[in-house]
Amino acid sequence: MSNDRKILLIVSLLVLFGIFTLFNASSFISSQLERCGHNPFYYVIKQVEAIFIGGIAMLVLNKIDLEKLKKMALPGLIFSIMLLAIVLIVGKEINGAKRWLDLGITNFQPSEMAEFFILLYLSAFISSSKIGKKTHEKIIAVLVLCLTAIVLVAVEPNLSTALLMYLFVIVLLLLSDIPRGYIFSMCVFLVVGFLAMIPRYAHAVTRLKMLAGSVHSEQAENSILAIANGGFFGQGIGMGKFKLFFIPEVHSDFIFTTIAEEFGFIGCIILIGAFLLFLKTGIDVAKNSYSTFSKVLAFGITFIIFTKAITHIAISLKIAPTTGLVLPFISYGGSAMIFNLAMIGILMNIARDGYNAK
Amino acid sequence: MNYAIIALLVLTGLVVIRTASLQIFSSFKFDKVVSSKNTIKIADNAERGEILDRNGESIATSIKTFNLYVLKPMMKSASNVAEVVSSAGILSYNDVLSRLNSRMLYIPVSYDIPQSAAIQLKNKYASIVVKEEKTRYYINPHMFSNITGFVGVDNSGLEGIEYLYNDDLRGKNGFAIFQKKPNGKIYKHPDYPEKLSQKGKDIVLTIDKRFQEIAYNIVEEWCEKFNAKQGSAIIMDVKTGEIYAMADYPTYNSNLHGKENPQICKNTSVVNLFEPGSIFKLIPAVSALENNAVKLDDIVKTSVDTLRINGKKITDAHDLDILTFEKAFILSSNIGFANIGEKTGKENVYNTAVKFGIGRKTNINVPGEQRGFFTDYSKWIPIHFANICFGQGLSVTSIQILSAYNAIANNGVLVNPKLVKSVGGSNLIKNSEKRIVSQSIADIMNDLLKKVVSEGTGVKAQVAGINVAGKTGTAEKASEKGGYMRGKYISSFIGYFPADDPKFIILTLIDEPKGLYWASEIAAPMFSEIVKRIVNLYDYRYMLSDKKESAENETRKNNKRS
Repeated sequence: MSNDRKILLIVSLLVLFGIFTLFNASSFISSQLERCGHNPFYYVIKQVEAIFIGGIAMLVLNKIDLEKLKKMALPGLIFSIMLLAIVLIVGKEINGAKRWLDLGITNFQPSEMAEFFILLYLSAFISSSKIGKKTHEKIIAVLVLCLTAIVLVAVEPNLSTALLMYLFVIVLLLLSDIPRGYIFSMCVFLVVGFLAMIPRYAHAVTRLKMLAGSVHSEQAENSILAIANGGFFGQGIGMGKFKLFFIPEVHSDFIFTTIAEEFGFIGCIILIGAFLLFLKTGIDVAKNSYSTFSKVLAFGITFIIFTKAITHIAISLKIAPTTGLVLPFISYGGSAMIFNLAMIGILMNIARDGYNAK
Repeated sequence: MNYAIIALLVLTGLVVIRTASLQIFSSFKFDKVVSSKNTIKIADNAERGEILDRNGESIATSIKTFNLYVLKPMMKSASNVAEVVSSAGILSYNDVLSRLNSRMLYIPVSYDIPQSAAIQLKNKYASIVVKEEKTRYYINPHMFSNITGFVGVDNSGLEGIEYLYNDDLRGKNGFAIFQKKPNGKIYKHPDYPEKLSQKGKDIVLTIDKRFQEIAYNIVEEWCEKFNAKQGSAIIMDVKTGEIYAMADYPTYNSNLHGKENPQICKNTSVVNLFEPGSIFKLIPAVSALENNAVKLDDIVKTSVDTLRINGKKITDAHDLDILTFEKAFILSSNIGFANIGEKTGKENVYNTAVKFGIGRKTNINVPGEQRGFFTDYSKWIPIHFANICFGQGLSVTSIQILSAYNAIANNGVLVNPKLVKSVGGSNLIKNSEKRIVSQSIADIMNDLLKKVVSEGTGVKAQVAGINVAGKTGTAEKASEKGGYMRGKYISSFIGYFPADDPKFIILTLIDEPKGLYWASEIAAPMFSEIVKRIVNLYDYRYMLSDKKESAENETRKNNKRS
C-alpha cells in the first residue's frame, strides 16, 4: 500500500473513532448543560462540521502544487500574526484566556493557524537556498517573525501551546544548516525566558506543583483513577463513569481518559500503536521525498501531530503538567481538526509526489 | 532528526509503561477509591410488617413519610445545610448542626417532615436527600401501646411486640447504588445493582380489636371515676388461653417513639407485681379439697372475730359469724382461710400454688415478664403461712393469677396464655395444656365461684341474662419499706362466663382507687360492665339466655325491696 493511502487509512480510522468517542465522552455533559441546549449531539455536530471543512482543506492541499504552497507561507504567517494580535483585543475569553475568535457559527483559534504557517514558512526558509550563504540579518528576521507569533500566543495566555511551537521551531531548525549558535542561543533564551516569565503565570505554577504532587488536582487525580478503572479490557463502550462531570474538559483535553476507561489497556495500546504507525509512515514519506522543502515539511507535520498526541496522553497519565492540549483527530476542537486535516492533505500530497518521483 | 524521534519514542515508552502499571498491575488498588468517588450506596429501608388483630384488623401499620437525610460527602459546609434546613422550618439551626456532627456518611436528620418542606427541599441540593419512606403508624396508639410497644425513630422495636418480634417485623433492608455527579446531584445508573428491601412479616395477635376497645374504655372510665392511679383489664379465651384484650390505663402514645415517661411504657398486666389478697384464696381452697383436709361444710371460723398467730392479729373485713368452708370462701374470710390453711398444711398449699403457676412466668409474648415473689414453704413461719392463705406475703402478676383461675374455668386444665397467633402466616406459638386438678374439684370450685357472685362479695359482678362466676380481691398495698400503706388498695376481680360452659375469663384491677376501695364495689361492677358489652357484640349475643327479660325484672324487684 502506498504511503499516502496508509496515511489516509490511519487518519480516517482515527477520525471515525474520534467521532464515536467524542459522542461517548460528551453526550452526557452536553445533554445536561444549558449552553449546549441539552442536546447530546451538540459537540458531535460541531465536530462533524469541522471535519467537513478540514476534509475540504485536505482535498485541496492534497492536489495543490507544492511550489504554490511555499509562496503562501509568508503572507499566511503575517496574516496569522495579525489575527493573534486581534484575538488579544476582541477575542472571546473562555476559562480566563483569550484564545478564540468568535466567528458567529464557530470559535476560531488563531494559534492553530499560526502553528501551521510557522511550519510552512520555516520549511520554505530552510529549503530556499544554502543556509551558509544567508546573512545573519535574514536568519534573525525569520526568527523574530516566528518568535513574535509565539510570544503573542504566550500572552493570550497559552503557555503550553507557545512552548510546543517553540520546540517545533528548534526541531525544524535542527534540520537546517544554520549555525548551531542560533539554536543554542534559542535554548538558552528558552530556559532564561521560562524561568523569568513563569512566576507571571500563576496557573502554570500551580499546574507544575500539581505535577510534583504538592498541590492536589482533582482533575488529574480523577484521570488517573479513571484510567486505572479501565483495567486490561476496559469498562466497556459507554460505561465510563468519570466522564460524568468528574473530569472537566473530558471531551477535549482529557479524551484519552475516557478511551482508557472504556477500552482498557488493549484500547490504549491500539491507539498508541496507530499513532506510532502514523509516525513511521510520516518519516518514510519525509525520507522518500525529493525536495528539502517537502522533506522538512513532511517531517514537521509528522512530528507536530505525534508530539501533540503523545503529550496529550502523558498529561492524562500525570507524566506532564495539565494543559489544554487536544488529542489530534479525536478530541473536540474545530480549529485543531481543520488544521490537522489540512496538514494531512499536505503530507499525502508529498507522499504521492515522492512516490511518483521514484 | 534522529534525536527528536528518539526523544519521542522514549516518551512513548514511558506512556506505555505508565498505562500498563495503572491498568494492569494496580487497577485493583483503585477499585474502592473509584467507587467511593463516584457512587454512593443508599439504604432502602424495609417496610415493617403489620401488627393485626385476630380478625385481620390493623393495629400497627406503616404510612408514607418524608424523611430528611444529609449526604455528608456531598456537603460543602455544614452551616450552609443547617441554614437551608432550618429555613424550611424543620429544625433549628443548632439542632441541624449538632446532627451533622455525626460520623455517618448518610445522616438521618429529621423524620416525618411536613410535605411542604419536603417539596421545598427535594432534589434541590446535592447534599440534602428527601426520601419517601414507610414509617410505623399506630391506629389507636393509646389503646394498644401496652401490647404493641413502640419503635424508635429509626423504626426498630423498643418495647412490647415490636421489641420481642423485631427480627420478624423489620424485614430486610435493601440498598441502591447511585451515581454521583461532582457538582452534587445523584441519579440512578442502570449499571449498578439494586437490592430492593423486603417487607417484614406480619404478626397476627390473639387480640380482638372490639374486645380491646371495650376493655380499654372501661378501664379508663373506672380510673377516672375512682381517680385511681392505674387500672387494667384482661380478657382471655378460656379454652385456648388466647388473650382477646389486655388493656391498661393510663398508657402512652406509641406514635411518639417513646418520648414519654418510661414508667407507663410497660404492660402492667405482665410486668407489675402486686399482693393478690383475697383472689389468692382459690389456691388454699383447692389444696384443702384435693387433700381432703377440709370439707365444704366443716366449720372453719367460730364466732371469735380475731385470730392471734405469732403475736399478730388477723381480722376479717366485716364481723362474720360462724362460717363453714363454703361460706368462708364466698364471704372471703381471712380467719377462715388461716384455719383452712393450717388444716391443709403448708407443703400442700405450696405445691398447689406451684401447680397453678404461682411464682413462675406464664411465658406470654411480652418482654419483661415478672415471675413474682413466692418463697419456698420451708421458710414460712406460721403467721407468714396464714397471711399467704389470704393472699398476703407474696406477689403475682395479673396474667399469672388469671391463668391460675382459668385452670378452674377450663375444667382443671391449665393452658398457657398467648398474645400472638401467628408470625408471617405460620403459627409458631407453643400451646401447652396440662391437667392440674381433677374435673370434680374444678366443678366444686366452679360452684363456689358462682356462689360468690350470686350471694357473696361478688354480687355486683352479676350480668342480667347470663351466669357468671368469679372472686373479688381487695388487697392493701405493700410498702417497699415493709408493712402496708394505709388507705392504698388494689381492688381486683377475676371472673368468667357463661359459668356453666365458660368462654371468656376476665380480670379487672384498679390500683389505688380514691374513696371506695372494696373490690365488691369497684372491680366486680367493672367486670359486669365488660361482660355486658361483650355479650352486646353481635357474635356473642347467643350467650344471653332468653330469661334476660325476667332476670332484669327480678333485679328491679330486688332493688325495690332493698
